[in-house]
Amino acid sequence: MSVGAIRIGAIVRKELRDYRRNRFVILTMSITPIIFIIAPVIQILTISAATTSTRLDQRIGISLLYMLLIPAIVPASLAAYSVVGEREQGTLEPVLITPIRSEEFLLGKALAVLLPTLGISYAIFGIFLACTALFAHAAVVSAVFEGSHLLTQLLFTPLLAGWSIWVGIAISTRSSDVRVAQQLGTLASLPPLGIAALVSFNVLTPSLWLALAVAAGLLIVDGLGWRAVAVMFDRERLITGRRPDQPTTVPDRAAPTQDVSHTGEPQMSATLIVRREGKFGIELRRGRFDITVDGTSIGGIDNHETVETNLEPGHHSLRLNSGRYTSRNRVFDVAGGEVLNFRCHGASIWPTYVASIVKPDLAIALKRT
Amino acid sequence: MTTSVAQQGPALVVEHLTKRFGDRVAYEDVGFEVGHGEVFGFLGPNGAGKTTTVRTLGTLIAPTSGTASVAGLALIPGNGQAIRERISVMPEAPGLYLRLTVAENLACFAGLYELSDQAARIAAALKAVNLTDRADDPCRTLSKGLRQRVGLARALLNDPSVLFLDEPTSGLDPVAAREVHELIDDLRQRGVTIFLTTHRLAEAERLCDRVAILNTTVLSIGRPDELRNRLFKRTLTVRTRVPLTNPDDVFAGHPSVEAWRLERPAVYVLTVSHPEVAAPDVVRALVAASADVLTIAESQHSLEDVYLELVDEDVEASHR
Repeated sequence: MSVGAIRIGAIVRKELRDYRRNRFVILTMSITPIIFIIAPVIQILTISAATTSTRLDQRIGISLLYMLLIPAIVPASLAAYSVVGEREQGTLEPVLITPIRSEEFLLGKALAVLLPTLGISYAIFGIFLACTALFAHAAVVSAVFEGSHLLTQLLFTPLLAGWSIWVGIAISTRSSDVRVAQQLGTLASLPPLGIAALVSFNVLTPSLWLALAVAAGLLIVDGLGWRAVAVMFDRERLITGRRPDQPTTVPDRAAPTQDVSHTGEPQMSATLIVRREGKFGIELRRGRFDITVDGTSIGGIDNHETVETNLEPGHHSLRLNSGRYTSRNRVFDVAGGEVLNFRCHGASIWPTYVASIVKPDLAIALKRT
Repeated sequence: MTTSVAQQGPALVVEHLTKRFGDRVAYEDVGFEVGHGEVFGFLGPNGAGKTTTVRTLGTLIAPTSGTASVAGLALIPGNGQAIRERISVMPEAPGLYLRLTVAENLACFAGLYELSDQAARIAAALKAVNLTDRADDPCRTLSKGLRQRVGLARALLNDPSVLFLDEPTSGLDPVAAREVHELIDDLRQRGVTIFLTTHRLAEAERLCDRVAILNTTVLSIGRPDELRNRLFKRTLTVRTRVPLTNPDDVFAGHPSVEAWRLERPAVYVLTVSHPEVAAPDVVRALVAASADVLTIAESQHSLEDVYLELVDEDVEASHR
C-alpha cells in the first residue's frame, strides 16, 4: 500500500498551525513537561556525595522515569482529541470527502502529535542533563550520563509516544465524547511505562540487548497500531454514528398490552420493568440504550428513566444495546401477573469501559433486582 | 483530473439505490440520471433522505442495495478514492477550521487533492467566490454567509466533474443566499455538473434544469415546467370590471375552453388545453359580450405547488 506524502503533509501542517493557535494545546504541551522536570531535578540535586550506590540508582531511576512520563502523557490527550474533536466540530466530513485514505489521515494526525512531543521531550531531557552536569555531584553526573540511561531515554521517548498516540487515536475513532476520549487516552498511555519503570529501577538489569528487545517490541506494536486503527476507522460510522447495516434505534413501539395464550384465551400478562440508574449516578458509556425483548426492539431508555412493558407468561430474553455495545443477554421465565425488575447502567468504571472496547457486552450492566 | 473519461456517459446514474439503517429506511429505490453540465435539484422535506443520498454518492456511506455511477465510475468500494478525486461535496455546514485563515483552510484541502499549482488554484477559487481580500482573515471572524462562500471555494479547488451542494443556502439571509445563487449560476455557465439538495423551492426553480422530488422515494423527476404541466391543468384567469351577467354564454361555447369556474366576483378561471389558442378566442367572446376586461393571463403554478401536491399525496398515501 502506498501512502501520499503530500496528503499526509497537508494534515500535519494543518494540525501544527491549529495547535499553535489553540491555548488549550499550548498549555497542555507546556505545563505538563514543566511539572515533570521539577521533581527529577530536585531528586538529582538533593543527592549527597555519601549516598549508597543502591540508593543512588533508585533516585536516578525515579528521575529518569519522570522523563519517560512526558512522551507518554503529553501526546495522549491530543491524540485522543484528534478524530472525535474534528467530528464534534463538524470538520471531519469535508476531509473524508477528499481523496485522502484512512491510513494517510491517521498517519498525518499521528505525526502532527509526535513531532511536538519529541521536541518537548528531548528539550526537557536536555535541560535535565544540563542541570545535572552543572549542579549535581560528580558521582551523580557519572551515573546519569551512563550509556544505558541515555539510550533508554533516546529510544523509548518516540516509542512510548507512538504507543500513546495510537492508543489515543484508536479511542478517538470509537468515542463520541471528547472528554471521555481524553481521559481514557491518558489512562491507556501508562501501561508500557511499567517496563520502563522496571528498567529504571534496575529490577530488570539494564542492558543494550534488553533495551533493543523492548524497543523492537514497542516498534512492532506502534506499526501494528497504525494498521489496527486504520481498520477501526470506519467513515460511515464516524459520519452517521452507526456501523454499516447495523440496526439502529427505531422509534419507540408500543409494547403489547394484551397477551393471548396459545389457546386463544386471554391470560394475565407479566410486567417487565427496566430502570436505568448508574452506580453513584456516573455512567461512562452514555447515550440511549435500545431494549430488545425476544429479539425485537421495544424502544429505548435514557439515564434515570424507567421503562415498563407487558410480557406473555413464559420464556423470554432481554438485552440492551447502544450501537455495537451491548449488555449480556438475560434469559428468564415469567409467570402471569409476575413483576420482574431489571436495573441497567452504562459502564461506570474505567477498567470496564476500556475492556468493553474489546468485549462489547461489558459496556452495559443489566441485572435482575 | 479525468474529465475526458467522465464525460463519456452521464455524470450521475443512480438505479434502485436503497439505504437502510437497521429498520429505518433513509431512502428507497431511488433512480435518476444527471447529464454533464446539468444543474439537478434534489428536493424534499427534512428527513427525506437528501443528505444521506449525497453522502452515499460521495462514497462516505455504503448503499444497502442498488447501483450507481458517479463521474463515470461505478460506486463500488474499490473506486472510493478515484470518485472522490473527481467530485466535490459541500456539506450543509461548511466545517471550516476556525483558527486557520481562509487561505490556510484552502491550502490544507489543496494538499489533500494533491494539486500541483496550489497557489494559483487557491487564488482562482477565492476569486470565484469574491473572497480574495479576505484570504488572510481567520475563519472564526467571518459571517455565516462568508463561511459558506469559503466552503464553496474549497469545493471548487479540485475543478470537480460533479459538485454536490447540500443545502448551500441553509441559514443564510436573503442577500447572502442571492450571492450563493449567483455563484451557482456562474458555475453552470462554466459547465460544472451540479447536484443541489434544497428545500427552498424558489431556489430550485430558479437554478435547476431538472428536479427530483424525494420523500424517501423519488416522487417525480422532470423540468419544473414539465412537473407543473404533469400535475396541473393549464388555466387562464380572466378579470372583468364588473361580474358578467351570463358567463356561461361567454366561456362555454369555445372548443379551446374545457371548463370554467368563478373564483371570486368578476374573476373567472378557465381550464384550457392550449392557452395560446384559447386566449384570443376568449378575448373576442368577452368583447362581443361588451365586458370590460381588466386582465387575462395564464395562471402560473409554482414549483412549490408541485412540491406540496406531491408530498401531500405521498403523506396521505402512507396514512391510508
